[in-house]
Amino acid sequence: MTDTAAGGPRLPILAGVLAAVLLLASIAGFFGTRQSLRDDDERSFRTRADVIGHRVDLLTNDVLAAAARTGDAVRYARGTGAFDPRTDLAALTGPLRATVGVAGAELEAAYPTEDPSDPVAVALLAARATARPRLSAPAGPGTRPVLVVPGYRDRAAPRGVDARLAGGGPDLLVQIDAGAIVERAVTGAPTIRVGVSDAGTTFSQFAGVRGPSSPVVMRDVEFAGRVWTLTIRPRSAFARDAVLPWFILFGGLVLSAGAIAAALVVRRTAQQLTASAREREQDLRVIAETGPLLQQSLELAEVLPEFAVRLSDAFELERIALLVRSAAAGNAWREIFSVGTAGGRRPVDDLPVNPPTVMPAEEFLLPLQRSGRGVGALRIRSRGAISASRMSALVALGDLLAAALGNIQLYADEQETVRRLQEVDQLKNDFVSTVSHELRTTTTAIAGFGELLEKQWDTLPDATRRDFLGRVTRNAGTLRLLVDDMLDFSRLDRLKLAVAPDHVDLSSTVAAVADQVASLLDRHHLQREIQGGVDAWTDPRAVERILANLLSNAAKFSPDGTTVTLALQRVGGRARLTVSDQGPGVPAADRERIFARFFRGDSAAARSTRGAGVGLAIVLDLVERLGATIEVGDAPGGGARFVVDFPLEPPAAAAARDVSEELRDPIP
Amino acid sequence: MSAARGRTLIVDDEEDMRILLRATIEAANDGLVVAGEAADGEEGLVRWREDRPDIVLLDNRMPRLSGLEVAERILAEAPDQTIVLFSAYLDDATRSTALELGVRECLSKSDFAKVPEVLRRCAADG
Repeated sequence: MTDTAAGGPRLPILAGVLAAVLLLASIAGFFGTRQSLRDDDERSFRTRADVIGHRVDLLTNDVLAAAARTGDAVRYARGTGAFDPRTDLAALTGPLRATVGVAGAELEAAYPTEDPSDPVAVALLAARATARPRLSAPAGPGTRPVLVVPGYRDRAAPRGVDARLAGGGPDLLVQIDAGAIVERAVTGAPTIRVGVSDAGTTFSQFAGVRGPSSPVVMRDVEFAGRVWTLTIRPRSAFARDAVLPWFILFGGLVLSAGAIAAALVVRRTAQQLTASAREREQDLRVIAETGPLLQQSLELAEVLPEFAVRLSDAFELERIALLVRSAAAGNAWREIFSVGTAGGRRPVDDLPVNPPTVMPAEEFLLPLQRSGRGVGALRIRSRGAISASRMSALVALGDLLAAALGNIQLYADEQETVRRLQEVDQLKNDFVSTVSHELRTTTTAIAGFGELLEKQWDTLPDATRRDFLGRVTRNAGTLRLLVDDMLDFSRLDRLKLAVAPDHVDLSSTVAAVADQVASLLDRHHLQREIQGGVDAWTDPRAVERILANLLSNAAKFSPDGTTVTLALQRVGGRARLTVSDQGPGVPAADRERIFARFFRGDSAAARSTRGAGVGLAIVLDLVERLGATIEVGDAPGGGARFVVDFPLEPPAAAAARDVSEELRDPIP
Repeated sequence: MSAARGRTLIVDDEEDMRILLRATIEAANDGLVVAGEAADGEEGLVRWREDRPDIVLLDNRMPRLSGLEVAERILAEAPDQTIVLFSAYLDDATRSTALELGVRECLSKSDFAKVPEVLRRCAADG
């Protein structure tokens, strides 16, 4: 975790530096490349300009050489007399496009040779003096210079300057187009187009060559009495349309932007990793602290509040509640503990269960499971969002709580088991004590009265003797019932309380049993309400045991002289046997427990009466074996009322009858 | 041995027992006299205060007040009162508790035949 946190910021810095370097390199590349291209252009441009310059330098000599050649031609022609200067000179000078005149014929008279203000006269004198062709200065703006070629009178060409001077003849004066001559001089290269203006300035353009955006003045050329300024400008500006520098700049920008973007992404990822690592660490700490907390105590009330508060703090929960399924409320969820602000009344079953992530203020359910068995659920409302990793931490904490709840439940179960064992132990002790007391009391009474009768038979009055004998009989009856109970009870324990049900005339059986057990009820009034002819599917011996127990109970638990009612009637498809008394009745809380072995009520009546506490357990066992049912309730007058319903037919016959009834009365 | 020292109060919730004890004591006729009978502990206390018998023959297992509780109250008022605990079920705990309280004798109901003898001894020691 620490590595990630420290390594995170280093990478973005590197990426930032890389981006900056790329940016600078691309800018430098842009300007460098542009400068390099400009230098190339410049060099190329200058070279061409120099060429042009040289051509201009040669201009004057070329013209003068042409003029000399023309003069020689004129002189030669005059000697033969075959030369027509008007046509032949024009052919000779070619591109000079001269206006040709011959001194002495057309121009000679017009030119006073001695006038120093006439440039042509000056040039004429200079030419005659040097015997070489000479250009005159222009007479004024718009006028053309004149080429003066000295002539010779002799046919043979004079050799040397002195001969030429001696043989002077008519001179040739040629008015020339100086602009055309300059133009011809500089337009040697096909790439150059030259325009000549009257103002004496020549402009030129370089096709396909780049150069400075403003024209470059090369040099001044003096020709034909004027100064010609040669100016050169490129066809297009330096590298104006060059793509490469821009490509380099753009590429650099793209690369550095990429680097910065990558750096930002990496930085963001690193921050997220750091934050999530921090969260993880916090969650682990909460889990680590919560584990021992949950194991501190086996009391739910001690563990839960602290757990809930810690969870609320760590996960910024608005509310947390523990729910358990309530068996009493039809297995519905019941909230047994909560921390936080109330609200959010959505039904529990509508809440999302274990969502992967949680939105702010969303409510959800976190089931608590232990060994695949649900032990409850946490109902949680979060203030903020909960990420998937935090959810897994919450689930882990839920598991811890589930384990703790499981332990608490196990502990409670164990406590309950111990309590029950102690109760059973107590019941057994009470049973031994009760049975001993019962046996001793009855045997003592039988033996005691027997002994008294034996020893004092003669001295005792008749009534006393009769009374004592009655007491012996009654105690013997009680003893018999007690012994029967003990025997039945021992069989009950070994599941050997056999019954042999058959079709029985229950009315006769009940009446007979009532007679047999009448001695147990000699201090009560037994009221019989036995309906005749009630047959049932049962075992007469079992009915006797059931009835004897119920009647002796009624006798024991109701005051002397009250009425005990025994009723038998057919109710629906059952034979109903009812025993009710006028005693204190069975408290509602004891109605289940009275059928348990050794149970004797806590009431004064129960404590003051005799019995081993197994009678009703035997009754319940017999009733169940016979397919009958037993219920205890209140008699109309307030005493206890036991109702036993016997089946009229064996179970198979009853099932067959049900089927036949269904066939007879089919479902529409 | 004076009859005045054998006056016995029978406290037992079983009618059979009371009648049997009375018949036995009267049959022994050895200066032993039944001073009265009580059917439970409360009644026993009332009769004891009225009759002030020499001996209280006390059953243990009775509704409301047990024999030991009755013995404790009697002995609190009259430490010298002779009490014989006559019980169907005498375990060691009951016996030692009784003797600690100051009960003179503990007799099991199975030793019913010894009742006159024990009563006579108590009357003699008086």
